[in-house]
Amino acid sequence: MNNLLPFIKKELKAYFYSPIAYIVAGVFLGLVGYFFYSSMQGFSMQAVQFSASTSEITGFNPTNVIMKGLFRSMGTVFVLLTPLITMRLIAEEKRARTMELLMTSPLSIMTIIAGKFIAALIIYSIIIMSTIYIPLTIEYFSTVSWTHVFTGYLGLLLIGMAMISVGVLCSAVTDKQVIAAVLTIGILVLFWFIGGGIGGHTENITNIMRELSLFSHFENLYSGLLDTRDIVYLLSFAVVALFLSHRVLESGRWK
Amino acid sequence: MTNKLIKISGILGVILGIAAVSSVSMYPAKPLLNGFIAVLSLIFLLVFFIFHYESFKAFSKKRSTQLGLNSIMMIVFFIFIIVVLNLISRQYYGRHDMSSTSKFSLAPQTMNVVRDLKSEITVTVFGQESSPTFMRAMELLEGYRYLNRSFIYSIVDLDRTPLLAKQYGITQYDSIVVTAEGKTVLTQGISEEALTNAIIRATREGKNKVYFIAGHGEKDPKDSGRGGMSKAAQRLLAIGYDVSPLTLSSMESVPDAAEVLIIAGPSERFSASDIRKLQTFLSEGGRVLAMFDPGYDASDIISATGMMVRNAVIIDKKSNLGGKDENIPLVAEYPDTPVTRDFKLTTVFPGAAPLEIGGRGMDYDYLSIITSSPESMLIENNKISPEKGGHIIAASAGTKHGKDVVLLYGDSDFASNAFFDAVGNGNLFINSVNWLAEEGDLISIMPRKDDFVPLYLTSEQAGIISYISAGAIPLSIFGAGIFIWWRRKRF
Repeated sequence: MNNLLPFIKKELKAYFYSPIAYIVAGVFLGLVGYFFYSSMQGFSMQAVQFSASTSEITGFNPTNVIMKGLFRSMGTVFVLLTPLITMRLIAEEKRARTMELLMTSPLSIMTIIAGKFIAALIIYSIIIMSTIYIPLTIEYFSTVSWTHVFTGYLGLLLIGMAMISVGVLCSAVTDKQVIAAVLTIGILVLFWFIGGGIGGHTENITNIMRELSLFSHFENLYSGLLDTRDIVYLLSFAVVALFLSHRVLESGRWK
Repeated sequence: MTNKLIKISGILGVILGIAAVSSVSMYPAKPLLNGFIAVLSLIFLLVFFIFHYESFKAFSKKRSTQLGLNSIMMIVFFIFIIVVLNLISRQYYGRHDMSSTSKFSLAPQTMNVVRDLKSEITVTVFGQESSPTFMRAMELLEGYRYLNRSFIYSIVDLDRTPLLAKQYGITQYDSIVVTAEGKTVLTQGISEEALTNAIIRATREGKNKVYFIAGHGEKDPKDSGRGGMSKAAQRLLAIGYDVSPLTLSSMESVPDAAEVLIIAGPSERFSASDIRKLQTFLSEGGRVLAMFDPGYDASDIISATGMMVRNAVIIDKKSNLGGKDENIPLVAEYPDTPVTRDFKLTTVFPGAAPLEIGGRGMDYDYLSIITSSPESMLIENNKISPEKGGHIIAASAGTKHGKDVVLLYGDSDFASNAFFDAVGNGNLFINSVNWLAEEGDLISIMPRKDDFVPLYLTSEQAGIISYISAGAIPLSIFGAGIFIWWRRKRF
């Protein structure tokens, strides 16, 4: 534990001194910023139309329409961007031959994995929290349900943990960053769409796939439902991937 | 040569093994084929194993193999613990609705009903997997399940479960079957109100009693001929109603247990005493489904409600059964009423009479439920009437402060055996009885009204937002990245 904080600091420095984190953050904020602008404008136009309508309108509020859509988009964008944050974590150490130094240092494998995971999670959280200006802007022009916004950000944090842990695992199995990134995208896309887009050929298989899907658990959270089952699943997913990363690095000692 | 064959045997064993697993999941109904592939795979693998026994033995003694196996065991054990943890979390969990629309919260009436469930209740929803109502059903049922673990539910795709659907006579998407203590109740539409009321009906002691009035030449619920109503009676029995004929003249009054009275196309007039008994039943909050055919004078039975069956016949040259018989108008569009909500099937009304409603406007609430097409016409006194189309075929009248409701149809043949299975006729009849049965003492849950929260932007404000959110913020991040890259390159 004593070694963990300095190790996280070292990893964070590596992020701040490399352009990749800035590129990821810039692309992400650019996309989300555009989505935000277009959904604000769309909402405003619809609000004008609905104001004149006599029929009953349900679920039309900025949190449910704008924020919910943005949370979903943020999650989907990060399926493609997370690998860029995580691909260098262990693969780069292997390529630069510094992994041997790390493995023979007083740091335990658990510290190495945890340090790299937490550093990537901090970067991810900073990027995610940079979008806080969105609900604040909505609050300025209208009103926002902050409880709903809170569960949305909690969902993004948990889904981020799951995605980063997959990235750490893929980075641990190879010494090539590109392979790590492609592998991470493949696994994340599979677990993202497994519940909705890809259906099983029997009802039971479809249900199992929905349970395994990252998206279906994230969907509840960004829709405003705080359910302990979703939290437990997303945390379990991250823990399993990190444990597998641990085993992969451990196997390097005796292979 | 032998070595090559043994290698091929190993590869074949693995390929056939994968084929066996795939085959089991894709063709579960072909056990013989699946078993054959699996046995073949085992034989090939066994041959490979026997010839490579020494190699396996040496491999298993290697340190890396033992550590590898140890690692695999640890992974399996760890995943097992995580799976168990997740299974426990599925049994003991908490949930809290923090959404801006409170869409995961249930009405207090529903919470009381579900919490009070004493025995197991099973709910099956027949939906369409890709539809939004399928997702809504999941959200809704999960909310019920959270309140009471005796609430067991399953949501199935109607197209994938034809046998199960046939068992309950389901033909429409978004049908709900509720089963409790051997009693089955069917309802239509994915809504909290429909589901909660179906649960109340399914768990209520005794069966819901439906009487078919007899003795005036009405259609007989036991008659299986074309003009009988045995199909309607059987459907009612299948979904939890107790169906009996009732001869008013042999009774002092309508039995207290009567939930709904059905008057199915009488041909003879009701006696004054019978009418009095009906009026008493209605004044005590009774519900009546009355179906009268053209030519029958029903004024003395229903005039008190302010509704009237005209002595005329609706014909429709454009919208009719088979496109040929103008005397059987076809209805495909329905207003949003409790009977026809989410109803998408077409219905036909052979020789239907038009209704007039609103005679007692101040005392009654009227609801026009089925209307013929705007192109339909009327034949009155053997002449085509100049009146425009859109004639009322079914309507209801209920007193404003009481519970009594009369649901009136200008046709009884639509529910007869000859037309009961004609697309949506059977469902419409069942919906009508269900609604009347629910009207009495079940609960009413108003759809949750969300506050309309507007947000208006001027073009200037929209422009500022676009410049800042899609321009300034990401560009400043890119700028910081370029600056750091440039500094690192320089120093």
